Amino acid sequence: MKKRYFAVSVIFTMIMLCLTACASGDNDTIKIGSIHPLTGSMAYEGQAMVNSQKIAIDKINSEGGINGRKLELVVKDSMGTSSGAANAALKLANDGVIALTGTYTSSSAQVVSRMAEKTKIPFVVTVASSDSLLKNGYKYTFRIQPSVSVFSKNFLDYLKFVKTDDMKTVAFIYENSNYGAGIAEYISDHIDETGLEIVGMLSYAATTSTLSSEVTKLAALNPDLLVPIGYYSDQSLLMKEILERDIHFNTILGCANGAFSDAKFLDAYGNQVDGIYDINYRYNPNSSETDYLLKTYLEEYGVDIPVHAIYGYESIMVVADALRRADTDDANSVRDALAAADIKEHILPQGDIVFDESGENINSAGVLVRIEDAKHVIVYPEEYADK
Amino acid sequence: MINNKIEKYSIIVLLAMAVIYPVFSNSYMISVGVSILTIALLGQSWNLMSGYAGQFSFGHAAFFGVGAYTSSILYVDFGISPWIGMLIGMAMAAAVGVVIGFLSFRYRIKGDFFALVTLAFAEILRVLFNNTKALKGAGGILIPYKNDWSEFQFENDKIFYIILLLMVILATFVLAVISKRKLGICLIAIKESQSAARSLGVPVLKYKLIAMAISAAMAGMAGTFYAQYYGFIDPTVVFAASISVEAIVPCIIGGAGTLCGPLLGAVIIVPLQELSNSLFDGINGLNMIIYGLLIVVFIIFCPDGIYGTIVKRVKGEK
Repeated sequence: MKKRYFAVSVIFTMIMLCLTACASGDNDTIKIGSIHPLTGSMAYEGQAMVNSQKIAIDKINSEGGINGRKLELVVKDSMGTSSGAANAALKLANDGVIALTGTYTSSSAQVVSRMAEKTKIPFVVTVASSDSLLKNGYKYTFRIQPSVSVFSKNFLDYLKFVKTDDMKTVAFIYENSNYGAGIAEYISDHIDETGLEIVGMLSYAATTSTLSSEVTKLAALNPDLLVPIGYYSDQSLLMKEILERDIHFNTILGCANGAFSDAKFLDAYGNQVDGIYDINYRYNPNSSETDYLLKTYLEEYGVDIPVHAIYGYESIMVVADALRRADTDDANSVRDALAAADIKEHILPQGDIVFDESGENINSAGVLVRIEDAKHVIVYPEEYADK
Repeated sequence: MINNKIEKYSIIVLLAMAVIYPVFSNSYMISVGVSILTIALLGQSWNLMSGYAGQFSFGHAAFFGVGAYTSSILYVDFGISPWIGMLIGMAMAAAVGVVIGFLSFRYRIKGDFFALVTLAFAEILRVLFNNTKALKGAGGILIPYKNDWSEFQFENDKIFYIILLLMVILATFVLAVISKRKLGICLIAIKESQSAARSLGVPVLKYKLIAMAISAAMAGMAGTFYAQYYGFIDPTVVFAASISVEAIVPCIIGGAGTLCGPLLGAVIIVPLQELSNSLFDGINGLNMIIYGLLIVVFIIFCPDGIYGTIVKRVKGEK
């Protein structure tokens, strides 16, 4: 009898091993892992990120690949959960990727960052803005995009281009996660530098289906400057509510606003949202590579590229640059090459891409954008102003 | 302690599988194994309160989150080892369970409404933690990564796996003991008919609260493990409705109110999800659709779960 239990257990285990272990592809390509939420509430953003990564991969491959070898993007769904992200990272590690990229949400990024450290595979963050992400002392995590504190500092810095003499009061409306609350709190802690007085700090959950009472409160507060911070769907909802009720705010300045800098937002509201400012990440409109990315994205996917997705493209370019300089194509040499990166040709509105000890892109910066005649126009820094 | 032959064989087979598994596994499979065991532990926790005692909970994330947060805050802010933090977390989770239970039962909330109350409490805790700076707010808590067993941190994921396996064994053992004792029998009586149980002298409120406390402590234990293994928690992660669902699904698939049901359920759903995730790479969300369909199919055709159905069949044939 005992033998039978054992036999049954072994068979079951073998079946499970077969189920979970999947054969890896051919060995001629260099694999890069991509972990993004492809299902759930962040699926649109995650898919856009993967789309732009694919454009970068195709571009590099059509130019002959890296040292004659093609790149391959291995995409995994993080499902927006910690366990999903961890399983995806380790699956990719076992499939032999030389770098991980991802993950759009900060909680997943934290988990992948830890798994990257354990498996000694470099992790290039596409988008995840939490400040604490690079405070672990990890050696394998690199971030290109501006963090919460960079955006907040940009805000305090760029405010002078928006501020008028009669601007006295400011109100914030922000989604209450890491990112929205993080920025709002950072700015409010440093509000003395601006000479403005905070009259309202309203937070809401990003999954909300109405912002009606918040808008009522804002209308009553009637701040000279309104600062909305949030993702696409909730901020779009906020704007809809404001427009429908015909409430007028003197100046609206978003900070890393998921809606204001998105092309979809302009399609939805047109000239109604003229005059709104946003401090956000953006492509450098004067780079020829940007033109290529914008055009290809529109051709292949039928919509304008969402602005966050430029970091998908750039993350692949950064990994490719490291691969070109790496001694061998194993993950550790790629990590060392990433740490020594100094990239001059890129699509971001910033100086060279250089990582500091913690893995932060030291020159990362947002830009100040104004919506004029239903178009985004970069106001500052001037060298990146649209042609 | 073990009720019958089928149960005995199932336990032996499942245990042998769990022990053999890490020997052949790479890091990815260990990670999947950890997911399976996490869901199994949550499932056993839910099983006690809802499967045995019949008090349906949609809010096990509340206990899970309290466990995770207690040990993490004690560790990060006060330097208390998560091993001790885990015990305190379990006590805190049990306390939360008793409070929720007492408030609900005191006001005679039962059935579907009780389920909704638990859901509401989990949501309240999520919002509370998200907006309270003293509890780290939306930023969450990062557990520093090191290799130190006294701080519940291991470089080797297999050790994590083994520890979690021991937790699942412990939970299953507790369940097995309870089901044989007076407590378990009274809980089943309460599930079948509360008023009948009361009329026979079963202290209904007391037993229900005990079941909730033990169940919540198990979920709290899972919470601490989760924080230590993944190294990061925030309110949207540990108080998520998806955690509550993960406690329920293995019981529905495997069979609620049975000792092996949740274990079997966990062994089936996680690999299935991973497999459909790998097989249908280009088609996003197909794994979710399969997951959803599976649950619908099980509720319609197999309301007792796989294990429950097998037991019924075998008994029927006898």
